[in-house]
Amino acid sequence: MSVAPEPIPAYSWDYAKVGDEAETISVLVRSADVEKYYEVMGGDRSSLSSPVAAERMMSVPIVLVRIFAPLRRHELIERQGAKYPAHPTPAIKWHCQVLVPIRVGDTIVSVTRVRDKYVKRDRHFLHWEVEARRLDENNTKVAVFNYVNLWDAGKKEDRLR
Amino acid sequence: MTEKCVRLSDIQRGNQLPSHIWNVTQKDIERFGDLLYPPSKSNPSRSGNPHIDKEYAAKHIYGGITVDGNHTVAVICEMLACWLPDGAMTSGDTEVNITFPNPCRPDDIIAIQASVLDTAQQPKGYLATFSVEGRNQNGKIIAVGSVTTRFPPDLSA
Repeated sequence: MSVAPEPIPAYSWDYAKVGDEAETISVLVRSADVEKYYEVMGGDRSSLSSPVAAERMMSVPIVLVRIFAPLRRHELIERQGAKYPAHPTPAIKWHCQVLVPIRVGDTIVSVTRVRDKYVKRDRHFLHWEVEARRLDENNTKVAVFNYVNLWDAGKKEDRLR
Repeated sequence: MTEKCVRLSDIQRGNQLPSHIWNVTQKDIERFGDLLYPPSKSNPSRSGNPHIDKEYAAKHIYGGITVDGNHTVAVICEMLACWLPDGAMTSGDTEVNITFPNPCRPDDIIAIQASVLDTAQQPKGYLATFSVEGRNQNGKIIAVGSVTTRFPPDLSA
């Protein structure tokens, strides 16, 4: 007689534990991603093309840390034997510190973890941290990304915000 | 985007940067999505993505599509990058700290203001912190926080 598989629980705020971690991931910093960023943002690409920029060996734009050190919430949740909530989880806070230049050709090794969970004004939040290190002899820490999501489905009045 | 500042002397505490108006379009939101969360084989239509999937977004918290916070941060950083000397936002010593008190939606008109909060000459270079704030056409704050960056040494001399 076959046994029905256990339903997969949702990664609710109660289910989440501070310290939950995703597997580490390595990502090569590719010029194609930097080019695409400037193509999409229409920003000042002099940081890529000018001789001054080349001489200074500038870092990639900070938002691209999200590609080179991805926030692996879905993978973390799966690793904890759960599934992502069925509702959106809006971003509340975005904090990134780049400590040393990240350059095309670097390989970035990062890990995503639950850094904190808290309740504020009767709403539940999850705070994620991605720690990014360069694959080099010193395992140099290059960036720390902190991100907070509202983990509730929301309140009626949110539709008017 | 904005007039470029090329002298460090322009970056003094209290100085206001030229404001930037961001007309938010669904097309821009989708283009940014192509960068950060492109379609995949398992989810080619990106269903369940609150920045792309209109039906899904309509059923949930804000009742419609919202702009990805990463996108808002990118717009703010590019505004500063365009105003500051080349390389100031890509020196490899930058901190961005933004909160999103209200959602940003397609067709919003966002006015982004920034001013110099603090500066410091340090051995490793010139450090500047900017306060930033984005408000929509109704005056609601959709992003607020600070950006700190260290200028490359040759600019700091």
